[in-house]
Amino acid sequence: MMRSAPARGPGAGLVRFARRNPELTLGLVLMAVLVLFAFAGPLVWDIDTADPLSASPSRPPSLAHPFGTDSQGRDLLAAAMVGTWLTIKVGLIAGGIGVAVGALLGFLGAYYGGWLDSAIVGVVDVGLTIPALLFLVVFGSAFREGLDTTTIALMIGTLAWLSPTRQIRAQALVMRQAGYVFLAQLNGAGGLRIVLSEMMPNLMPYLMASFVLAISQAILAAVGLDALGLGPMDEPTLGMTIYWMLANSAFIRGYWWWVMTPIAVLVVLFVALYLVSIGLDVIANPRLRRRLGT
Amino acid sequence: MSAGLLVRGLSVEYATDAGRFLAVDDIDIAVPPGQRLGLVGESGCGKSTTALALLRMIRPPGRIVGGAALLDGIDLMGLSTAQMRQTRLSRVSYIPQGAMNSLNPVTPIGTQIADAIADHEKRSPRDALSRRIVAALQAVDLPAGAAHLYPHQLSGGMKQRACIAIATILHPRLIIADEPTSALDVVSQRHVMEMLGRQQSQTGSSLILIGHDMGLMAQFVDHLAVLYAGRVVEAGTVGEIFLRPRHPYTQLLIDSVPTLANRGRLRGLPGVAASLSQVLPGCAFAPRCPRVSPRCAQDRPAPAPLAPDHVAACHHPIEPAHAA
Amino acid sequence: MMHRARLLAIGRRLLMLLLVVWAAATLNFALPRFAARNPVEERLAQMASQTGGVPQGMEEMVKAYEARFGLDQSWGRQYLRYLGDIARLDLGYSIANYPGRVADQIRTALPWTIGLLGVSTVLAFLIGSMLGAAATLARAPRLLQLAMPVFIVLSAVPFYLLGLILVYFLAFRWSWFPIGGGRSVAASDALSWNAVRDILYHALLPGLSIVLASVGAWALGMRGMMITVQGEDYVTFAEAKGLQPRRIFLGYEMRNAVLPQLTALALSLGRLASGAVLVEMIFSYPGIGSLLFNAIKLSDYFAIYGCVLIMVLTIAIAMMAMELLYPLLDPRVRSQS
Repeated sequence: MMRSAPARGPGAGLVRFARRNPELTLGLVLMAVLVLFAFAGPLVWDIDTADPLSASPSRPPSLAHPFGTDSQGRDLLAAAMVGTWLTIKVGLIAGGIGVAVGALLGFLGAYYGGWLDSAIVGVVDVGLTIPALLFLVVFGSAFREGLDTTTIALMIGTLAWLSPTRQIRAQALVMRQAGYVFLAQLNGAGGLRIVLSEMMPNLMPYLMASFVLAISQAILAAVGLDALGLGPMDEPTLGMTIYWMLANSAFIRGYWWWVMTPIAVLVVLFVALYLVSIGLDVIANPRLRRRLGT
Repeated sequence: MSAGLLVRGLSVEYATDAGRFLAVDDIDIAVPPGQRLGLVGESGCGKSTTALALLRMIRPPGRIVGGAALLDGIDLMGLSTAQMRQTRLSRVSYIPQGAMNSLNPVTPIGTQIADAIADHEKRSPRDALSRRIVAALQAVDLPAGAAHLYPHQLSGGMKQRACIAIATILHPRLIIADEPTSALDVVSQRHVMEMLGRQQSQTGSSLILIGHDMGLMAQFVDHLAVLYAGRVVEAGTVGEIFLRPRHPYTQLLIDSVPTLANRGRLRGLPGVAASLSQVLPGCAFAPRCPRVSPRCAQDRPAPAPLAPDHVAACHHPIEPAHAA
Repeated sequence: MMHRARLLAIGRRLLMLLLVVWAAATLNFALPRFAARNPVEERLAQMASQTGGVPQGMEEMVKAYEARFGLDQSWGRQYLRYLGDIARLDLGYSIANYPGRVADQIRTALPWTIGLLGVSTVLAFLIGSMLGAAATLARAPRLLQLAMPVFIVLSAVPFYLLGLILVYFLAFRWSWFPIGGGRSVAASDALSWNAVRDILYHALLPGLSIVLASVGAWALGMRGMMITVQGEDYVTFAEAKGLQPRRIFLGYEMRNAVLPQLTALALSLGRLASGAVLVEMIFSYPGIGSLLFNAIKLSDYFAIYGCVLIMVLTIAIAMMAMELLYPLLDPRVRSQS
């Protein structure tokens, strides 16, 4: 009879992980690069130059300003660093609110059922039918002044819980039928204990996937709002850079560096988030896993 | 004898993270034409894998690594992919275990029978086809109107009978029924088994019935093969095996069937079924065998003929009691 | 010949539709009032600042306009009047383009948006589903295997970003396509072949942004669904029946895999609409998106609310249409309530 032994050792384990889940690995690497850019960047580059009137305006990339400057005199490299952090911040806050509230409501609805569940489902269905961005436009144009990044994040957060609630509720429903929950009930465990100790650990991959998805949708919404002109006028978020770029006809004037900077950073950001969420999907749904040796 | 099914040395290997192992290990079985063979064993002993192997439907990470399966003289393992496709249903057909989900949810039953015929035969006129479909349904006690119904509109027993209708409509030489009644209640079980038996006799096919219900086997099959850990441990006519079981595993299986006579404690089998990834050099049953000796763990017993129509793979076969 | 269960289902959907529109309308009504904005006053102030002077009698003007727009009544009465207007699809006057009415502006803009969004979405769904299904074939061509990851990565990027990239390279650097607009400046209104070609020419880049950025998602979804379906018992039995591989692929696998994808399509209409709005903005495409963008710039609140409301209504109707069509494809829900 034949038997072959698999490779052992921590290094081999890491390589095996990377080979099994290349999406997650690449996504995390890209995210790390961006986070490094946003946090370590200010240590080597003067981010005060992200403010207007810090440099001569509308200059193409040079040694002094590797990403060039915009027509208001911002150094675009500094603006990109600040903007990246601001944009990620919005994603984390709004996404965090979304998943926290979503998980709570999703669990409660799935576990208790009845009128509570119907009410939650009803609100979620109606809410998800209304396109988020449009609603945020209404919101944003109503509260024109006093919009800073945090406020926008909170604003997005009021809608961010809709999708996670539906996703998590669906998963929780599946798990509720599963045997082990029933067994725990038979053993006399109370509702909350079941939720926390039995269902939560199994839901972890889905919560993580939901979180990443919520972050990327929040960032999408935030950038969209900014680009439309409803963002914070004095903070150089990536979306605002796009807005200023469009408003100042950067295209026609040929300021390609102004066009490319926010786009490049955003593309990397979105691709990274997307890869991470696919990678998490693979963990949550083993059927999608690649088989070794085929 | 070139008719019927003759399987020699069939082996199926799986490659997993924990290594390679043989799910089906060098098995020999034979089904004379028109007769029924039961394949019994615990879950995971290789019964279903054998069925899939005969249909050449083993998917990676598994693959057939040896052996021949002669049906009426033709080796199924040697056919091309296209030939094998034709062979399925027309010469070897399969009745699945869970008919709950074995029918296409979005197509009516009649269409599912029709497309099976269409992919094996030349086009026939529509009304002739309809009559055939109705006849097939009625042969399994389903109403003619069922042809227009969707699977979700049928009960479990009805779905299983529809699958039987499909599996027998082209009069195959060999029918493989993989635990066809496990998911059904007792009344439906009886009905379905009757249906199956009737269909099989009418078409003169051989039948392999896969299961773990010794009681059902005793009532239904002519020959029996007992599998353990992918190997045949005992095979013979059903009468021989029930009256004079030679392998300890078979004896335990028979004893575990409750009868009205021995209403007392239920007798099960000690231990858990062998994990196929833990390969032993000797007999696979050694860890659980009540008759084990040191030789058993070292020396793999080969199936040996202990009586006409009765083989067993054991170093210490049970001596038959000379009953009056 | 519809039985009660179907009628109930349709009724429920209709109720949902009304509920959604009512919710959107109420939010439109409530939010700005909570923010204590006075759109008229703001607009007049804006106009005044543009012309460089404070007109006499500004207070009286504001009051007159408020009376005209009904903003001086109590909230309750305003709300009822507002709901009445909405029901008649009277979206009020456009503050920026007074005396133009919002409904008229929307009426001109809506067909452009529906055309662009509708065609792009259908194309993306069809192409993506076929790509995703083809990717599961054992002998998928090399080109496909390489194309999949590219599309998947592209789908991570929002439509308008892709639009910006496309505009920059294809319209600016190499003038293969127009930078924006719906038609050429000198186009006539006649529906001639040239006019149609002109429209398509202008719609190509915006449409391409939407299609390229969504194909990947549909392909990935379809591929995942196909893999799930291929593990189902009925596919195993289909194979055991010795069916032709093509019949199994189309009639057993794709037929079943596409159903959840259609549901996903219906659910994603809102997100698609949001994305399309931004794409229109980038390309100055004369649809609701550009209308909205301009309204925001000019603080034309009535136009903003009107646009949003119409979009919500359109999406809700589209979702309802899809829900009604779904039972035609999936027999399992036909007899459900």
